[in-house]
Amino acid sequence: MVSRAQHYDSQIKDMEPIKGRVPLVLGEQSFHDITETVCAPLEWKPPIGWYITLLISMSFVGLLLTSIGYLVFEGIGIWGVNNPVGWGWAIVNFVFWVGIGHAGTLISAILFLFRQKWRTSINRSAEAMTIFAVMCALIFPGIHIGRIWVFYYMLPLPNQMAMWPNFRSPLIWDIFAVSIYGTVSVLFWYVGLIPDLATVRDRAKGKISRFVYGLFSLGWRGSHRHWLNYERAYLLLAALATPLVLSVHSVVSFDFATSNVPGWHTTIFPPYFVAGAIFSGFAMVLMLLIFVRVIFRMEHLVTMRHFENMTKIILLTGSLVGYAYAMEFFIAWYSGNPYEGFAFLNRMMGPYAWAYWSMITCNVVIPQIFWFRKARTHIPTMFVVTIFVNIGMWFERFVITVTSLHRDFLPSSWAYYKPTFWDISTFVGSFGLFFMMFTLFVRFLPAVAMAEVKTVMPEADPHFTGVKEEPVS
Amino acid sequence: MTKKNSEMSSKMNEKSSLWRSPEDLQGAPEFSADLDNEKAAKSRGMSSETSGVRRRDFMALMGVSMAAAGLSGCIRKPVEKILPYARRPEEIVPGLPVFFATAANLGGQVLGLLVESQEGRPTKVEGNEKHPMSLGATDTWAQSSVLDLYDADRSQKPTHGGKPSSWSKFFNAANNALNPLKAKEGEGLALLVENVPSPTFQTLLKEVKAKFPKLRIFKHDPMSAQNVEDACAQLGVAGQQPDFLVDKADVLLGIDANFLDAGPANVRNSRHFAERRDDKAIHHGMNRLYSVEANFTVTGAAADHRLRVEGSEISEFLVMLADELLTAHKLKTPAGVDKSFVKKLSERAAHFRKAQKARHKSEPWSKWIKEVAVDLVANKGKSLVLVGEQQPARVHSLGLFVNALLENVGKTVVFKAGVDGPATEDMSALAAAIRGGAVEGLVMLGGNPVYTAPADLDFTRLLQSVPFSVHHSQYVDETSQVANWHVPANHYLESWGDLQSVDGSVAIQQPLIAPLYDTLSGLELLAFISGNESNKGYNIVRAYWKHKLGKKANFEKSWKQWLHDGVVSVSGKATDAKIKWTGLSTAWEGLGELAAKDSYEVNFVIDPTVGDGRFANNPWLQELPDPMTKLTWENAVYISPKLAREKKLKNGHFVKLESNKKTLEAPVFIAPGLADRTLLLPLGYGRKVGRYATMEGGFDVNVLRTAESSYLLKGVSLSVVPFKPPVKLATTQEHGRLVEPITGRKRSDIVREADVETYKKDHEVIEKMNFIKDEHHINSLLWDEPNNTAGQQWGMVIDLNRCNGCNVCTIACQSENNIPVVGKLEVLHGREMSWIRLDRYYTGSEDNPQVLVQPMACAHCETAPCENVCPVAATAHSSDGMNDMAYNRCIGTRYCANNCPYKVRRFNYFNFNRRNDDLSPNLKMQRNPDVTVRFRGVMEKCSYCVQRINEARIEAKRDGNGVIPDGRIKTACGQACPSGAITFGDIADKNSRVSKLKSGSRNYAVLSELNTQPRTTYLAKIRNPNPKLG
Repeated sequence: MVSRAQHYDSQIKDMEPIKGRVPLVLGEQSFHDITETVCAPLEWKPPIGWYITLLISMSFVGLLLTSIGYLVFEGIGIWGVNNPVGWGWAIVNFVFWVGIGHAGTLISAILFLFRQKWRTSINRSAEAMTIFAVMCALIFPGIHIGRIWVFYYMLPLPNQMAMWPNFRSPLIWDIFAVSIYGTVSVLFWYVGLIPDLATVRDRAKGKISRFVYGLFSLGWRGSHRHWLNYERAYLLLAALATPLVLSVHSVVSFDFATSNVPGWHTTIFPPYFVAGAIFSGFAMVLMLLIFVRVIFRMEHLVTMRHFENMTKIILLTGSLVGYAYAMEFFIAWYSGNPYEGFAFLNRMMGPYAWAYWSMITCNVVIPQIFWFRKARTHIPTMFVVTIFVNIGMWFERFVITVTSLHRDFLPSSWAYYKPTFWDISTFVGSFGLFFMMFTLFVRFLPAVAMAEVKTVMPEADPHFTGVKEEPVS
Repeated sequence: MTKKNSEMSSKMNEKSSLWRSPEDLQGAPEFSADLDNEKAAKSRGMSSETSGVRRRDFMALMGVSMAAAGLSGCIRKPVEKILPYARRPEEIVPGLPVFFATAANLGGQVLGLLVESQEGRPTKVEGNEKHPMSLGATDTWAQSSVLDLYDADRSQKPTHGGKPSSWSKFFNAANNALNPLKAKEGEGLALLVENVPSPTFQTLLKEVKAKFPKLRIFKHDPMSAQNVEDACAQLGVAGQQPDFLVDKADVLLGIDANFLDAGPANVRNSRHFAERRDDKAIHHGMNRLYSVEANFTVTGAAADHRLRVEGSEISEFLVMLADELLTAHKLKTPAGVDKSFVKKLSERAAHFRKAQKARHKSEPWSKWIKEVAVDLVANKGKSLVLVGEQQPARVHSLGLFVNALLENVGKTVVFKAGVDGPATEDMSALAAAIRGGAVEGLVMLGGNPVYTAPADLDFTRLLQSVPFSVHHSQYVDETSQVANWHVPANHYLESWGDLQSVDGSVAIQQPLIAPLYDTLSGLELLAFISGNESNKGYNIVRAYWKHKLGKKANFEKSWKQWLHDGVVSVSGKATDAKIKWTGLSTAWEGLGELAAKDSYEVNFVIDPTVGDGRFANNPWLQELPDPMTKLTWENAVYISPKLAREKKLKNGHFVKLESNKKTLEAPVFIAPGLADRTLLLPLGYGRKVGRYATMEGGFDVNVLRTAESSYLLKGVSLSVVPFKPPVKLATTQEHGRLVEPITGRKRSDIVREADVETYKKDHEVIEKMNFIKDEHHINSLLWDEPNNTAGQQWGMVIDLNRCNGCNVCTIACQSENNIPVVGKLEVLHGREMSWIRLDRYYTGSEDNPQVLVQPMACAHCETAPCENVCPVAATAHSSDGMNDMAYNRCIGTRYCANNCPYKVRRFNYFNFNRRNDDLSPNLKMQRNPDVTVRFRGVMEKCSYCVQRINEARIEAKRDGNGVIPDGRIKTACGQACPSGAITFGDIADKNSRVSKLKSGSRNYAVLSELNTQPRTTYLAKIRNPNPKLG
């Protein structure tokens, strides 16, 4: 017996490229079939597995809250940060999560502007992931400061001290960049959700769900005027979000690039960080979709073609990142700056060489397997590679943050940095938050943009004359 | 100094009218309760939360943090009382400190001090400029002594058999026990005293001895120059003491002599040594120091040439040198030296030379001895041979002999009359007396012999066998626990007294505060023993001086002057010492041997931070890094890198030392520069009482010591302890080489050093050491140069040629700026808080390196990298060019610390100050009210002592034209520095001292290529090596 996945995946293999492109939605579905498929998880009684997933992720959220509570109670000293290494896992995790949060808006906004229609079935979940990742990211700069209770000093609020924050500080730029990115991402996601929320509202049976979905669908009735405004708003937001995709991680990289620490102070950082962010973001989306499509029976919506496209982007950005690594070394030598030269040699051969080589292996070597079509269409391979990419990208941030700081200018202050239990628990806890949000998302919101998917189906073509095929059981 | 008050009110003597704190004044019960509650606090310790998580704690926290969110709005502030003055005490203006002159004998060095008092509360110790041994500076022990005053472990009342008692009960018991002995002219009565160079005390002691002729007086003090005293006795000049004048010597030879950091005159020596190495001296007569030692000391690091020899061979070096001077240079022997001694020396030298040749196939010292002898002879009368205090008396005698050969006696070595006291016997004699049943009553005035006495005396058991024993000390220490009675002693800041220095100058010790607890000074207890129960220290000291001055003089006037100045006489007259050299002959019997090849030698040293253990309960000193190894909170068996390679030992691995059937198991720490087969064991750790002394502890090395070999133990066997997991030893500096790993690039730009000939030929040699040579990076600045020129602009110069790395600045800063200690675990995490640290770098080979030290504190960069990265502008530039910290604005992103290339910013990872308070609540009495006590989560760093600048500015605005005169402001580090290495002042004023120093060609900025333009610059170190020694 062939599984649903194998069935749909085999269809792609059998397609003749000459006849035209592989359809984005397989299985000759009707519009109603799409609605049924996507809305099903919202209307089912969730399987026991969903509850177990939720419970596990929530217990990790508990760990996160405990770690934060203890941090506020005792101080930053519970982490492993020390005198030369003032930033440790918290900043590594921040950059890591911001990076993850890149793919969503990139898929939604940039691919939208470029009319990449294959984005439609994955953009919703990718955007959701973005928002959850940004939420996780924002925790870290918030809690890594010594006096969390005066966090608001960083905001340009009117205050009795008549003081602005220091606009010269990259951390302030960060606040603006990440919060704007978060806001626009949420807006973009929400606007895209409105027609689908209305669909869900129309089908809702419970009183509460009818009210809540009704409230958030903002009275959508699907009129032409609604569609006209919606399309314009969506296009505008896409145009607005696109530069943000590039700016946010560029600004995050300024935290490092504008400092004077050897290994941080490099001009390559903005593009290199953006490439890395897309790299890790796509890996994360791919990893999640591998599960989502099987669990929610969406193999015909999220097809192997989507996966293959994403693996290609992973290969591209992975190679870009590899190029950046090579370029950093070249410049360290070519610039003639002995501090920088030492910083990079120290990464390769110093006490943190293990972290550096883990990074190179995970980010540069392993994704090269995607040159082979077999690997690009083989789900277990894909899954393993995405895990490696995420590990590698976390290590990249670790290497940048920690190895540069631990040996800078004066040898007298050099020291080794080690994380503590609380560093690890906070990071693991943030994954709990991420997965909890995602678990709730797939249960309560349409995980695929129904309205958009329908527009890329053959039926949406005014010249559609196709014949329907029996759906697979 | 705003005010130097002439005299404390004579009311000071009436204890009842004085108070210790506002609460005490009101008789509040909380005050005493606080003191008792600390045991509970101790269990909390300085443990760190990062050390691991227990399951129960974790679950509890999990619950608490869930609930905390809802409760956070309901925190109640504790009730705190403040009391205004109903009647203002005379001469105290709230907020204005008052300074009193006093003196202290700390670790064998008598220093004249000026102590700052904040509304009756001593807070800071400074040196007294008028005192010739202090010259305005101090040592680490003087700086930290103010903290001991408030030590919560201080004994507060007499105890009997460990149970609280009272003075009246003690007096009764003592009278009952001692009166029968006194009746027998003191037979069976023994006194054990420390080295107290106090004229009044010694006179009183003499009176006691005269009154009870059969009473025996013993002396035990590991931190006194007993060997020098014995040497004087050997040479027939007992009662006199040699004073070595470092400033008059052009060539110095140190024989195991750490005269810049230990011994009775190290503060003055440091100043005098440094003055012969400043800019003027570099061009006209820089001195030269040769150092022969086994362990690497601060003095060895300052030396131009250092010869590393095994501990037991040090004396042979001096023998061979003396022989060289006598045979090769035909120096005339001083009158009274018998020919047989000269012959004996020759034989001994020849024998040793032969032994060396047999083992090494060469004579490793021959060139050294030859050149040193030539240099010394060329500087006859202007040279100086110094011998370390731990060397036995005969080496001191021989040192004096060599000085006499070189015609230095009377020039660089002068003899001064010591304090005239009764003859004393040593610890071995006391042990023998007790064993023989000759001691029925023993009164121990100070000291801690149970801990410090060599183990072979078995003093603990002996003390138990004494029918009546009293121990008078500041703590209920190891000895107090064994003695029948313990009676509490004053701190020196609570006592009247007088003290004489090694140069013969005398200072009056006046108290800053009435005794905090029910205590007596040693003088007062001695008065009781002499039968004068009611006599107060004040009366005793005054009576002595009144008598000494004679009837004719106006005593009251002189007394007031002495108290005001802090000195009675500036220096004693040089005596015409009639040395009888015949004593040498008997001392130098036999032949010297090479250090054994198959066993090891142990050198015991007085620890540079905790001394012989007497300072072990001072948290500042516990956390103060050892000047060379940078180890904090504990000791270790220091081993040479060669030994570590041989035995495959790493830091923290355990070894077992065995000698005379005594064993010691302890972790090792590799100390480059240590002689190959010498093991270095610092005294002072492994104490059994005191919350800070026992916190980490280290180990007690006295178990290996014997009365015979108290500083050098030969024939020790060493074995590696297998399977014992290594411990982590907390050092504040993990990397100590000026060479980059991986690239092997030299970083000689950080601490710049040149030899004097090179420097004289080319003054630009220092500037040429820049790490990045071409300067295009400065020409292409994006921004305008900062323009801080208006008004007074503060800057600092640190002269690396003067600095010897003695650590005083670190403690002075800690004392001035309310810097907390963090504990061993946090030091291991790299979170020590010191604002000024001493970077120590090894250069040259690992086995026989040279050392460079560099004090490093915030450099107050003109274009400070920390400032622009702070998101909340908590660190900003002031108009007078300083990089200021607004603690209350700081949110603790630590971005500034990351961006600081000098890594001088310190972050409060925990609420360290509160931890200090929880552990020992009284210590906060020491805090400087002019400096904010920082909360957790904020960054801090050197402020150039901004509170002192502001104080001076207020004064200048009030009394003058608002311009602070040059030299008015002294930073705490600069004021305390014995070498005068730190100069602070106005760099906008071209005539200020600091500007003049900065204009010299030795001036350089660390990491100048970063264009941070630091306000603190350094003057390069210039060594003066003997060209013939290469």
